[in-house]
Amino acid sequence: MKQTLLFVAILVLLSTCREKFEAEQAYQPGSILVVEGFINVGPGITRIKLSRVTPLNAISKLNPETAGIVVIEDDADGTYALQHRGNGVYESAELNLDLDHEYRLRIEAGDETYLSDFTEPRVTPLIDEVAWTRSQDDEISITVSTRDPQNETFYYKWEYEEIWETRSAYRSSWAYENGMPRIRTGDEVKAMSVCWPRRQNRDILMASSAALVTDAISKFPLTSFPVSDSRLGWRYSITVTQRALQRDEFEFLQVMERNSSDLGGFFDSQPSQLLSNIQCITSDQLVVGFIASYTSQKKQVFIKHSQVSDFDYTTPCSVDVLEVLLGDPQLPIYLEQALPVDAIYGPFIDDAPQLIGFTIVAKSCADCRIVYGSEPKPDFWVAEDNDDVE
Amino acid sequence: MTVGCFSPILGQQQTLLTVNVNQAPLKDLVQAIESQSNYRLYFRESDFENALFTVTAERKPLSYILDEAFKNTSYHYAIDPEQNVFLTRDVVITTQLLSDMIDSPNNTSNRENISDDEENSRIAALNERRVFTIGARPSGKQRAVVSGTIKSISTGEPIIGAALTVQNSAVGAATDESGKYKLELPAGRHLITIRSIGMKTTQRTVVVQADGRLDIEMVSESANLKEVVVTSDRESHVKGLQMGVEKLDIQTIKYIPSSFGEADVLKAMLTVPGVKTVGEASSGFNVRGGATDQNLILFNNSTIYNPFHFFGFFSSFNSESIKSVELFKSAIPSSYGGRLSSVLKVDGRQGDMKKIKGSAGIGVLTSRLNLEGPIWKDKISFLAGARTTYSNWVFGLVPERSGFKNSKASFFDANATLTAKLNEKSIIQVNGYMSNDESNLNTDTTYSYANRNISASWTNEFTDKLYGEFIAAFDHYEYGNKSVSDPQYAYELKFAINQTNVKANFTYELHPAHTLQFGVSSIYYSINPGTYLPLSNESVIRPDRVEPEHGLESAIFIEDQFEITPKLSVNGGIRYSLFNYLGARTVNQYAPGVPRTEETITGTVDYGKNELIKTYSGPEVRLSARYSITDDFSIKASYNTLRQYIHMLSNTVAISPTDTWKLSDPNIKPQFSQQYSLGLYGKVLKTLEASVEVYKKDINNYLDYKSGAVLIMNKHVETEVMTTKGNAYGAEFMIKKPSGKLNGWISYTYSRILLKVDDPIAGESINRGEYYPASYDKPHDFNLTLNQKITRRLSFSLNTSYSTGRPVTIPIGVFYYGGAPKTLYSDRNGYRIPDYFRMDFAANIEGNHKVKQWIHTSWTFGLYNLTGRKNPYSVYYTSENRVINGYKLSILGTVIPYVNFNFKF
Repeated sequence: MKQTLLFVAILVLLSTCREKFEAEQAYQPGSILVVEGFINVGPGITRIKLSRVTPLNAISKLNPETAGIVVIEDDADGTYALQHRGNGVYESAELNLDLDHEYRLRIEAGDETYLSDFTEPRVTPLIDEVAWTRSQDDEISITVSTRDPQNETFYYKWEYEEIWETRSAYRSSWAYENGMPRIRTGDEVKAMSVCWPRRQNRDILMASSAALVTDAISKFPLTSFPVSDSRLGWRYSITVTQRALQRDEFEFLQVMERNSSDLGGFFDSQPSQLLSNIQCITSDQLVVGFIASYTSQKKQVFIKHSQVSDFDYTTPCSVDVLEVLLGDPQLPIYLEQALPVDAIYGPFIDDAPQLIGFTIVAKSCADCRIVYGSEPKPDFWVAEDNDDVE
Repeated sequence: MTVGCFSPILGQQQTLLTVNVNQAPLKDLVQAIESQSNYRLYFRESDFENALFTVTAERKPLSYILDEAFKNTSYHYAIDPEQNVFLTRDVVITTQLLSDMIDSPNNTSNRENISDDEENSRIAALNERRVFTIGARPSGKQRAVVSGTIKSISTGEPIIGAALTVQNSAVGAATDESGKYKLELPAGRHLITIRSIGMKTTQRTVVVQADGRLDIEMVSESANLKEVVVTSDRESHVKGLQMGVEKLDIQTIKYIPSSFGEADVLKAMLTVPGVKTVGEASSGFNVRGGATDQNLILFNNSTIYNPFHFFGFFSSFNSESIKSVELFKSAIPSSYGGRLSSVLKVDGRQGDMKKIKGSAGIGVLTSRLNLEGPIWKDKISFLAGARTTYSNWVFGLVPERSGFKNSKASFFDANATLTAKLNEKSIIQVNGYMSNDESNLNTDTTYSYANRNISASWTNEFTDKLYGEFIAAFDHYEYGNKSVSDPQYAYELKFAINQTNVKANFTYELHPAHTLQFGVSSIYYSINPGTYLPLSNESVIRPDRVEPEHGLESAIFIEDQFEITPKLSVNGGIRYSLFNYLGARTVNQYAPGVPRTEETITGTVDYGKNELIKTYSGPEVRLSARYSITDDFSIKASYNTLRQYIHMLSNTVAISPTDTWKLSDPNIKPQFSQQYSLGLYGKVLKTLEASVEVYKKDINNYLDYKSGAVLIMNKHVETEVMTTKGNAYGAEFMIKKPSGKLNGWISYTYSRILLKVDDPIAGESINRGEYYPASYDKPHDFNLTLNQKITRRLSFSLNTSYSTGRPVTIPIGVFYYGGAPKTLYSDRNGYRIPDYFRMDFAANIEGNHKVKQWIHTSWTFGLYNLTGRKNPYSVYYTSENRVINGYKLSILGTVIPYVNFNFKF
C-alpha cells in the first residue's frame, strides 16, 4: 500500500505534463506590418521594405507586403511617392531631399494607414576607410572606420552590398530543345558563363562610440570569408552604406537583436518590448519598425583575384560522356540535371560528322545563373585585361 | 456529592459564623457570610442562577456551612489561605498552591496519580476563579498599569502574540516576542480574557489598586486531548494595535492539506490574504505586490535566504520544531528592516523544561524527528529536530522508461535550540539551523544549495520597566552547480553570501500610556558573487571569479506605543538605516547620461579593503493607529516606509538554482517603498470575525532586467538591469470562524502590482514606458480553508484556492529584418497563463485520548489537487522544424494521494 503511494506520488511529481498551448492572440500575426529602411536625405534613393509578421506555428519565411503605398512627407506638405520594385521593396527616385525639413513616412497597406514620427534629418559623417586584411589563417576580413569631428553622431549603422564576378567552369555551347540539339548563340553562352551575384548583409551592423573619448569607430568588422571563397575567384566589390542612427533607433535594433537570440523559455530571460516610432492611425494595430531620416555615405572597395592569387577558387566539376540517339525518350530526362558542353561526333556520313553524343556537366557547372541568379552586369564593372569572355 | 476538598486553614484561627437561610439564592448566603467575616466569595453568577440553598448553622466554620448548603448539589468550593472562597459548579478545584500549604493527606494521595496535564488544568481552573489584587495598596491614581509575562504552564515557554482583552472595555494588548504584555486599566475590578492560538482561553479577575505585575500561565490545547481549534490571532485583529499581521500556529498549519501531507509552514501562509506565489514549485512568495526577495525570513533570529527545499516543493522548516509563524505585511515594527514587503517570523519552540519528549512524522517523501527536554530541570533545555527525504531511494524504484531513473534529489534540514534560564528574568538561547539540497533532475548538472545559521540571544528584564534583548547571529547561504560527466568541461559554479548580525532591542515603559521600544542593529555582508572553476585536471574551463563585495547595513530605531485613550492608540516609530558599500573592490565607471553597457564603461576605480565606496541612508517611518468604535469593531490605519539594500538577481520566472544576491553599489540604488493601509475589523454573528484591509504601496528602484540579461558570472551586472517604479494596491477581505466544530476562513483578495520603467538611462524600455503587470500579478485570489470536526478523533480539512493566471510574455510572431528572421514578442507580461484552481482534502485521525498512554499517534490521509486539474505552471516556446510551438507545463497536474503518520512520546 505504502509503496504504491510512493510510486504514485513520485511519478506524478516528475511526469510533469506538457500540453500544447496557444494563447488567444489579440493580434493576428499577419496583420502586423514590419517596416525596414530609412528616409535618405541628400543624394541617393530611399528604399523601404514592407513585410508582414508570420504566425508562430508556420514555417518562417519572408512575407512581403507587395500592395502598399509608401510616401515620404515633409513638414511643408511635400510628398514623394515610392514605387514598388517587387518583393515588398519600395524605392524612391533620386530625390535629393534637403536638410531643412523634417520627414516622415506614410504607408497605406491592408486597410490601414501608418505614419512615422517626423524626424529631423541627421547628417552622416564620411566613411574614413573600408579596408580589408588577410589573417594568418587565410581569412579575409573587411572593416569600416569612421569618425565625426563634430562629436555628435555616436551611433552608426552599416549596410553593404557585395557584388562579385564568377564564371562557370564549363561553357555549354549546345542546347537541346524540343528533341533537337542546337548550337547556342554567343550571347547565350556569355549569359550562362559569367555572373555577377549580389548579396546584402544579413546581420544588423551597428556600433556606438558613446563610451569613447572621441566620436570615432575604428575597424568595425563587416564581414569575413576564406581566401578560397568564390567571391575572390575573379573580382569582388563591396559597397558600404553608412548612416548615423538616432539613439532610439539604435536601442530599437539592439532590443530586436537580443530578443531574437533566445525564445523566452523556461530558463530564458525576459524579452523586452520593441519600441517603434510608427503608429497605425486607423486602428491599434502593432507596427514593427523605426523610420528616421539621415544622409548616407557610401564607399566601395574592390578586391581582385590577383591580390590573393596564391589561392584559386575551384569548383568540383567533372565531365561525363553521354551517347545519344536523338529522339530517345530518355534523353530529356538525362538532360534535366546536366548541360551539354560539346558535341561528340562519330564517323562522317554524307560528309557531315554524325552527332553521337555530348560531353555533359552538372547544370551548375556550365550555368552560373543556377546558383547566382541572373543579375545584370553592374554599370561600374570594367572589364579586366585578361577577361576572355568577350 | 458534596465536598470537593477540605480546606481547613491550619495555623489560623477559624472564624465561626451563624447563618440561617431557607430556599434563598446564593446572594443571600454570600451576604450572610461576608458580613460576619473577612471571607470573600467568588463565583460565576451564571453558575448559580436559579439555585436555592438552605442552611441553618450556629457558630460553625465556613466549611461546615458550605458543606451543608451544597449537600446533594453539583456545587463545590475551595478556600485559600487569604480567605478567598471559590464557588464552582461541576468542577472540583484544587491547586498546588493550596496543597503546598494544606497538608491534606487524602489530597496528596489522589494527586500522585493524576497527570501533569490534569494538574495543570486544575491550577488553571483555580487561577481563573481567584481574584488578583494588583498593587500593594490603593495608590489613589485613576489608572494603573498591569504588566507581566504569559507562559505555557507545561513548558514554561513564553507565549508570543497572546491577546488580552478586558470585559466591558476597549482596552486590549498582545504579548511581545518574550511573552510580555502591558495593560493600562482604571482602578477597580476587571475581568481579563487571555487568548492565544494553541492555548486554552483563560480569564483573570483583577482588582487594580496601583501598578503591578500579573504573570499568567496558559494550558496548551493539546490536539490529542482537545478539539482542534483553528484560529488565527483571535480578537487581536479587532483589539490589537498591530495591523496587517497574520499569525498561524503549528496546530492550524497541520490541518491545512499540503502536497505530500507534510505540514508546511510557508505553504500554509499562502492561504492568508495578500500572500501569493507564482506556482507550486517556486521558491518564494509575494506579499502585497512585493517581489520574492522583499521578504525578510527570520527563523529564530536568523535570516534564511532560501527557505525551500527541492525548488520550492517543500519549505525547509521542520514543522515539529516550529511554534508559530507570523507575517507582518503592512505595519512592520521599527525593529525590523532591510526588506520592503514583509517580515516572516518563524518561531521555533523552546525545549520542554520539565521532561524529555519527542515527536516524529513519517510521510510519503520525508520523515522528521524532534526531541526536546531538560538538561537541567527548569534551567536548561534543548530541542533538536531533523528532517530528511528518501527520494533518492524512491528514484531508484522508478521505472527506466520514466526518464527519471537516474535523477537524484536529496535534502535535509536540522535545527537545534538550547535555552538557559539564568533566573526568572534572564534567558539565554542559542539556535542552530542548517539545510542542504542537492538534485540533478536527470541532467548532467548537479544543483545544490545550503543554508547555515547560528544565533544567540540574551533576553533580560533589567527592571520592571526596562527589558532588553541582545542578538548575535551568523547566516550563510550558498549554492553550487557542477557537472563532471564530461571531464573536459567539468566545472563548478559557486555563489555564497555571509552575514554577521548584531542587534540590541529594548522595551521601556516610560509612562502608563507610553511604551518605548528602541535599539540598534548592524549587519555585515560578504558576498561571493560567483566563482567558475574547472573541476578536473583535463578540464578546459577557464577559471573565472567575480570580485567579492562587502557591505555594512546599520540601523537605529525607536518606537513609541502611545495609548491616548482606551479607544485610541497610536504607534509611531522611526528607523534610520545606513548602508555602506565597502572595499576591496573595483568599481566600473560609466559615461554619464547614456545607457550602461560594456561599451560605455569609461574606466574603473579600485578601492582598498574596508574602504568606503558608497553610502546610502535614510529614515524609515512606521506609523499606525487604532480606534475602537465599539468593543467588537475597530478601525486601523498605518503608514510605513522601508529601504532595501540587497537585491536578488533573478532573470527567470521562477525555478532557478542560480539566483544570486547583490548589494547596492554606486551603480545600483537601494529599493524604497511606502505603504498606506487602512483596515476595518469586526465581529459578526457572534462567532465570525470579519476584516477588510486596503492598501496602496509605491516601490522605487525595483530592478527589472534588460533583454537577454546575463546575470551569472557577470562582472558588470549594472549593465543588465534597469530600475522600475512599482505601484501596488489591493483590498483583502476575510471572514474567519475561529472556533467550533466547523472552523476555518474564507478570504478574497483583489490586488495588482504594476511596474513601470523608471530609468532614463536604461537604453530600452518595457511596454513603451507604460505600467505593466509584474510576473506575479494575480488580481483575483480566493481561498477557503475549512476544518470540520466529526468526532474527537476524526476531522476533515478542505482547502480550495483559485487565482488569476500569472502574466507571461510570449512570442506572437516571426518577421524578417535585416535579412534574418526575428521573433516578435507580446507586450511584457501581456498574456496570462490559464487560471489556477486547486482543491485539497485531508482526513485527520487522532489516536485514542488516554492521557496516560505512552505514545500518541495521529494519521493524516489526503488528496492533493482533488479535481486533478492541470494547472499550468509555465508556458514556453520552442522551435521545432522551423516552427515555433508553445507548450504549457503543469507540475502536480493530477490527484495526489498521500498519507502521513505522526507520533509523540
